[in-house]
Amino acid sequence: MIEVHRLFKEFSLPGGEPLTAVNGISFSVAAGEVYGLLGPNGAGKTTTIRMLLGLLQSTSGWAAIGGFRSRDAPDEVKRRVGLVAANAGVYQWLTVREMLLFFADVYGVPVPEAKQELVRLSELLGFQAFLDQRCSTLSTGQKQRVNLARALIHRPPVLLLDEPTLGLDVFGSQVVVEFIEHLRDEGKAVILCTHRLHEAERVCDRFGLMHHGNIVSEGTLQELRERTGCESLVDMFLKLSGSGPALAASFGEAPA
Amino acid sequence: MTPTPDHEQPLYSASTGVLNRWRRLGRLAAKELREILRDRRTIITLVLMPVLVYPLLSIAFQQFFLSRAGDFQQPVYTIGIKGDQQYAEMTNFFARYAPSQDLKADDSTAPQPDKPKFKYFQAPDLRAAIQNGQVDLGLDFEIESPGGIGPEHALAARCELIYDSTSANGYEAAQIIRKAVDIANKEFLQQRLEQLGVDQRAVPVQTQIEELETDADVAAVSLTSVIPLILILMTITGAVYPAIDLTAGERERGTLEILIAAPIPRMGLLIAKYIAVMTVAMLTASVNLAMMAVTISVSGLGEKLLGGNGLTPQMMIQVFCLLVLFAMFFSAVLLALTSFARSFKEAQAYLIPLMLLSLAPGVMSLMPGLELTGTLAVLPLINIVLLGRDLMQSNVELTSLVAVVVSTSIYSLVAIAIAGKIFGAEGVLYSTQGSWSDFLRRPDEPTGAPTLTNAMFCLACLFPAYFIISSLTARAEGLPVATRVLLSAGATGFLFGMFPLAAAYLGRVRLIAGFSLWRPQLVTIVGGMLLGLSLWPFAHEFTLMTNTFQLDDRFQETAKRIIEQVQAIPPVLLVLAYAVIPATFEEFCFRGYLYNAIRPRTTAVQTILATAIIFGLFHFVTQGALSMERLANSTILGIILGWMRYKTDSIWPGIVMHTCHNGFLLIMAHYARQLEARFPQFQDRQHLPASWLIGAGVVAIIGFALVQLFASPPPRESETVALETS
Repeated sequence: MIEVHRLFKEFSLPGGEPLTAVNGISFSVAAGEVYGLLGPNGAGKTTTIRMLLGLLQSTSGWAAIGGFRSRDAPDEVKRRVGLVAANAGVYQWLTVREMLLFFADVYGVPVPEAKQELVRLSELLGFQAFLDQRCSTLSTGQKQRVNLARALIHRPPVLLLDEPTLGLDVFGSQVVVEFIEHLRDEGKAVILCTHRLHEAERVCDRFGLMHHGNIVSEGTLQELRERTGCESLVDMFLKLSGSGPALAASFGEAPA
Repeated sequence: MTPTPDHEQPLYSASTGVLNRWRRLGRLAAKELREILRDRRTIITLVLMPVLVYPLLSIAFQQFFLSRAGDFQQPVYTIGIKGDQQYAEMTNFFARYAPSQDLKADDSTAPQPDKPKFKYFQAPDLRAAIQNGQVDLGLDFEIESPGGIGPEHALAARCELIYDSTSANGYEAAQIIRKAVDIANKEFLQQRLEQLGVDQRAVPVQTQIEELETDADVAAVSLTSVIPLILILMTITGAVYPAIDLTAGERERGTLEILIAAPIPRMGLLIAKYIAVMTVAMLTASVNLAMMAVTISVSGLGEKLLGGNGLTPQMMIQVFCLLVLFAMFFSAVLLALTSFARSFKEAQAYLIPLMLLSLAPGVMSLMPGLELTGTLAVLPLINIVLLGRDLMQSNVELTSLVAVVVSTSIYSLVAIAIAGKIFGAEGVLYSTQGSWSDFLRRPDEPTGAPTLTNAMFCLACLFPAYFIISSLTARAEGLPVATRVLLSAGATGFLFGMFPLAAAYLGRVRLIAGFSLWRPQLVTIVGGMLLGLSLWPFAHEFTLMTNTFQLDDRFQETAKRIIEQVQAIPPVLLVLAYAVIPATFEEFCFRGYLYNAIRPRTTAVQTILATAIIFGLFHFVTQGALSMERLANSTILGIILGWMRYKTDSIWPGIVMHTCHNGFLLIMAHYARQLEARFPQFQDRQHLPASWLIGAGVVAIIGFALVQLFASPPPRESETVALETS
């Protein structure tokens, strides 16, 4: 469902110096699979997500969703994706219902179906009680649930979740994690970027560990454990953050 | 294979069809509006401010008029007179020669601006009374020979005027008394001379001073400009908040990214936001206009500010239309600016200089005697305020109106095009280091066609420059003819050559492809030549036809003057300056650069029409005046030239046609006298004989046929030369 091939992104710093944000990475995610794209801050995860969606143009390489390349057919790609970004906000002067129906309209969902989906999602995510409240009155956890619903209102086959539990309490995080598991059961391809590694361990089927724009290791949790000798993702992560290139060497594989 | 459950079926669908796309745009704009109108900050600027501002302003205006019209501030001069007898005589004297306002009647009668106000007192010790502040002026009056005061007496008297040198009232009172005494003395002298039988005037040279009230005296500022200026400033106030909120605000709140991540064209999103900002601006303008109308009618300021019937409904409609134009322009400018900003604060920081910049021309427009002509007609904001003033004074010139509307519309389009380039762009959306240089940064790869933004940017610079330069060349009548001709040719070349070239350089546009400089087939050159030589009779007939309807004396005068000028210029210079150079550079600009910028986004017919209309508009506003017949003629010529560009994919046949057309007309004008002597048909702007028209028609058809049948797009790639310097 999601394919990334030698994706490369270079930014120009002030003064003209180039900065490689993503260094020719490749990976794929199948339908019904949750892929954890993990790495320290500045590893290139969010840039990858944005290139997948066509919000950023890759310097070279390509990303495709459902067979459509984001550079060539950005609208087709966008239709098939639901995005929940860490800093995604809500329209504070609209009610939850108005906002979700607006996004349904934007994605071309007919009004009756949009209303049905709104009811289904509000039950699933537990926000029926504040459907007619203005978004400005919602708590952080409530807003994030609304954002999840917003990303799903058009029933996309692909979900890109960039730090979906950022700023949420234990209960809020639990709702999101359970929902991601539900998405997998619905057959959606999910990419999850998170710093909450215990959550990632729980929900992700495979992982891509990113550092300095490279995927330094990729595989299931078991495969990563065997390769790194570390038991948990936290240990792997610390090792990665402390000495990235050394970690790459210890992984015994060249950057993708 | 297990069937997919219902709730896993995708719901999204592509929005197809023009109508659907427009509907979606409407819904997007409605959502933006709903959000912005629910914000109490919008309501404050929309309703509360006008409700408060106009009554306060009306009070200020009332005070202004009262202070001008009334003399309530005029001081009362207190005069001290020494002695009983003197007091009685002096008060009689001043009643006659220095009449005062009736102080008792002040409350009930209108002020008498010509008369000062005096109060007389008896004061035995004048100096003490002055020092105590009891009187402004002391009069020590001593009669040296007996007799009462008046011409019939042989009066000889001495009058000492005493006042405090630091007292303005004392000084003014002394001046008034001295004038009165002078008048009395002259009268006495005249009557004594008459009594003595001397037939002479007492004062040989009599002076008379007449003080005229000029506009500058009437008001230090043009009060009529204040009304549109206030309305415009209030419209700006209304548009600022939504513009920031819907761009930088959305970005700050994190809703812009999710919107950009949706399958909506960025330009569609921007247009929806533009509609919302413009609607709020228009709502603000409407509320302000209504409040102003109510305030003016209730306070009775209308007649004082505007004269006549005050603010009439017709005037309000005109001003409203003007505000629509302004809202279109300013909303686009605001969106272009705020789209750059990454936060509310940053947007506010960008807007402060804009506000200051807006205030400067706005305040300048308050200067009395400022006329809406030349540069002022194309200067953003000031042109709108001045047009508003002229509308309110029912004193609008069509030339100025067109210049304001056309230039402001072009600026709006440019601002929208710029905003479209910036809004949601990768560099602005995600970069933390983006700058204005991003906009001016040249693309990495050379391109074969200019972007629409690039073309609009070029037009926005070109139109005011053209207007100003053509106005200046029209005024250079003192220069020798040859110099003027060369200046005009140089200006045309510079304007229509350098501006597109500079824009193309900025957009890294390939010279050959971007300007359609492909080598054409020879046969199309011949076709262009035949068309250029054969279209003039039709242009002549068309001009006669339009003049039949318009019968514009001024046009006839202008035409005569132009023909006289043309006859004074050597033919080679004439053809070079007014045919070869304009034809070459205008084709370079309109059918080359502009055509290629518009063509990728529209059909061929739309492109031809658009370039022809813009070409016509440039000829419409010429030398600081309007030329109606040139608008129609040039637009039709532009259509034919556009068609030729479309058929041949090159501007060269068009250049040949344009040159032949202009050149032939100029040569005919140059040899008008000889032609009139040989062919009487040329006299008095008569219709040409049918045989001439048929002959020209046949030649034109051959020209059309040659282009239509034999034109085919020439090879390109081998001839591509990039406009590169690095």
